[in-house]
Amino acid sequence: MYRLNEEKVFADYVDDQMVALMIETGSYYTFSPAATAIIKDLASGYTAAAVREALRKVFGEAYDEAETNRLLQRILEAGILEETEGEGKPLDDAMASLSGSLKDGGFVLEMEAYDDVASYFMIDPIHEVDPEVGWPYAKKDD
Amino acid sequence: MPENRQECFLDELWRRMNVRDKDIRFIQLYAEPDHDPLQWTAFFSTVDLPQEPYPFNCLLTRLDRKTQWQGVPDELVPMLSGLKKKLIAKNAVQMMDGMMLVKELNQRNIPVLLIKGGALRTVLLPDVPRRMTDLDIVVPADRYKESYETALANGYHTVSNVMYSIDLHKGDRSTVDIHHSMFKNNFQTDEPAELILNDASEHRRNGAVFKVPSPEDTFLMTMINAVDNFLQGSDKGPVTWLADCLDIEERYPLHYETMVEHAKAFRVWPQFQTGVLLMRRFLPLHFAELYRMTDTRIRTKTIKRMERLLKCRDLTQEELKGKPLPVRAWHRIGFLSAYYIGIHHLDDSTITIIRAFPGMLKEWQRVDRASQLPHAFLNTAVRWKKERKEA
Repeated sequence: MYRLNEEKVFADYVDDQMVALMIETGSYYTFSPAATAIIKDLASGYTAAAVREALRKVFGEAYDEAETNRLLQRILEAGILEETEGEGKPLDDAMASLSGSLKDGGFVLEMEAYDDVASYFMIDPIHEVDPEVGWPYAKKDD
Repeated sequence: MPENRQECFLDELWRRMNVRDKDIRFIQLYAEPDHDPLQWTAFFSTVDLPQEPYPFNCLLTRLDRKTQWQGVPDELVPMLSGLKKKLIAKNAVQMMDGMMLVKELNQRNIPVLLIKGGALRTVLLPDVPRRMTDLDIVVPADRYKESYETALANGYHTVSNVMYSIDLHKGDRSTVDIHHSMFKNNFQTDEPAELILNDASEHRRNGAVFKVPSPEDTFLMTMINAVDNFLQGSDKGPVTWLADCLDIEERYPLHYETMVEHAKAFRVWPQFQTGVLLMRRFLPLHFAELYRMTDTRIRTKTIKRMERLLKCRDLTQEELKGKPLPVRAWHRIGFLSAYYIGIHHLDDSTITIIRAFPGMLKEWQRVDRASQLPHAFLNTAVRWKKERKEA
């Protein structure tokens, strides 16, 4: 069973996407909607097995177990989630319907990491960025 | 006051905030219940992103949630999405630092109310990324000094200390603004804080416990803050507050009676009505229920007072020197003295508004000095007469 490591992480959610800021290091992570759902489900007490089962049901053939395990590993290594004692909740209707809303976004498990987010604040999001991708990617020198 | 004169004055207020036709058009389209991508495309034909003011560009990022970028030219979407990401990241840093401070205050049993942008971003409109220059918190007046000292002990340093609040920076990455009253014009008087606290909801983030005012009180505070900005000529994105109010209205079933009741109880009823008028100037079909609750007599009186307040401010502004305004000394003293005499007939709420307005305080001092001259002369004469008699 897992929980959000609130001692170390400040998490925020906008448009189904989570951002996590590490309190001590200033490292910053952003997650795609499907990755966010995995973290939310795990943090609200569901077992990893329940999460895998829900994703398999929602995404069918597009579901990739190895990729899911890799993401979980990275999340734990970063210290965003921590393991706690307890059995955890199995898959239920509430979780199934929540996961169902992810289908349109596809099975995209992205976790982007930025070492020191404050250093990216120096980049002007309109004038100094690559116009094709936007902040935090700075304009390439010609 | 005739309606058209009132409208002219409201337009003048908007003009002073550097509001442009583009800002007005944005807010009108934003307020539409159904979004027409073609209208947004037409709107964006007037937008030159690199040349637009930063607060305006920040406002455009709200279109992701509102219209899923429909009607926004494809080449602008990555930049606006990037700006949105940056706002989210900056908000996270601001809120994380703020929560750490709130946790420290909690340990000292100091209750904290998160207001303005912080309340919107954390609880009331969590999916609306916004430009947050600071995190505003309210603590009880009798714990204000202790709260300030706690912030200093936790790595903050003072930036500005005004009568109603204190701004503290943590390095160069976040700012917290500690207030000791819900509304800045009540900083010298008691206010019925429990009215807001009773309706506030309690929340927990990263071990920090804080309260957030109800949607009605946040709407009210947003509007009063905006009117204060108008009076002080502080341009923080002139239509951001309107977008906030529209978003709150869209999300929550608002009880306008409560809002009006609280506005009266906190002595911000005149400013509140001014806010309603400012809103309705460009969104005539919105907030009709709220408009019906306003009082024509108070509205007219408030607008007149604001007119005088602005005239008074104009007379003292450096950049207006050399312009054909009545700046000759005798005229200025005459004008301000008349104004000063007028103040004695105003009610407490207006007096407190004016007291909270630093420029006005400066004027008062000048007028005070001027008005004291006859008294000083008289006192000298009486003293001289007394001394002669004694001699």
